[in-house]
Amino acid sequence: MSKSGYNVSTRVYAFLLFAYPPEFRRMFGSEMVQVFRDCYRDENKSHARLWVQTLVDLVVSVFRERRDEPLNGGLFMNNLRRDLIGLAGCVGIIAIAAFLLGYGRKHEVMPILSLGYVLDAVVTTGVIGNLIVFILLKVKKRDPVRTAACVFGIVHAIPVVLLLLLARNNPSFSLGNIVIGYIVSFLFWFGLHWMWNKTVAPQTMPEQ
Amino acid sequence: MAIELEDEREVVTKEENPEDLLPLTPAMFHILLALADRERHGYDIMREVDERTEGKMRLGPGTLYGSIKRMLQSGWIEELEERPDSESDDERRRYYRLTDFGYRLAVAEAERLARMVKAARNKKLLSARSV
Repeated sequence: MSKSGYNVSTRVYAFLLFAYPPEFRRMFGSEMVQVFRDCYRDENKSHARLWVQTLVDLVVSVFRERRDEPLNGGLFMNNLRRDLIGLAGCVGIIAIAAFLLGYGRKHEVMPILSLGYVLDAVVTTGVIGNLIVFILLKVKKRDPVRTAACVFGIVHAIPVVLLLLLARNNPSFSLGNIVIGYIVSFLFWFGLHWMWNKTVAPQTMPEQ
Repeated sequence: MAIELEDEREVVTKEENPEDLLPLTPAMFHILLALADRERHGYDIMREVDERTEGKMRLGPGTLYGSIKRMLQSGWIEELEERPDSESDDERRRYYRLTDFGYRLAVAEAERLARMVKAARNKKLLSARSV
């Protein structure tokens, strides 16, 4: 057993304990790290197996402890439900946009093709932007509307600039259509997040 | 450091009939069983369960301490004020033991399981070798 692997693993596990409610961590955190250390030291087969077992145990027990928190249990479940609905909604919208785009191009359906730039932007920026917003809001307590505005602003601006630099000599390049497409896409995704945030109960808002 | 759970304990469980709390979850019964013969710290409980079940049941730290928290709150187990082997043992370890109610609960669960084994034997599900 390497000493550095032992130290790093212990530190990583100690960091992962932040997923538990603070009260639970305060009561048992140091003891759990001690137990993990003992397991790591005594594991003579595979540390990868130990990590897999520990991570599965961590996910299941974090969910249980969060759910059973005396004050925040209901809030956690509400937030989880809300997040899952939001995530499923975003995935659904992206899937519908991608399907429409594919169908419209294959069968040359003009009403859909005229929305081509918007749908292109909705699909590409939706996947990346929503993922970044979701992670940022989960990891850090930030203002959701401001975070969505910043992320979607950047995620929409970058492709426009890249297209301008790389495809401006292409005869079919149309800066106006692209800019309009990305502005509509930005308004769509940002508007969706703004509306979604309106449905959040006041006590679930992060500290400003 | 003793855990400050005294006020939160549901004292009512001590007056409750242990039969009303059955069946226990496997993790909880294994922890009660591990503490039935002597006081143990968390890793010792984990190792005892692992050995007794021949590695079939392995309690992770999260499951172990989640169960311990609930059992402390319910008054099934308690934390020792002093470590039994304070000189040779790590002072960060905390030791737990069964309360009277926890012991009665473990007995009730063991009897329930014994009745099930008896029923299985009567239905010839168990061979003479495995009894």
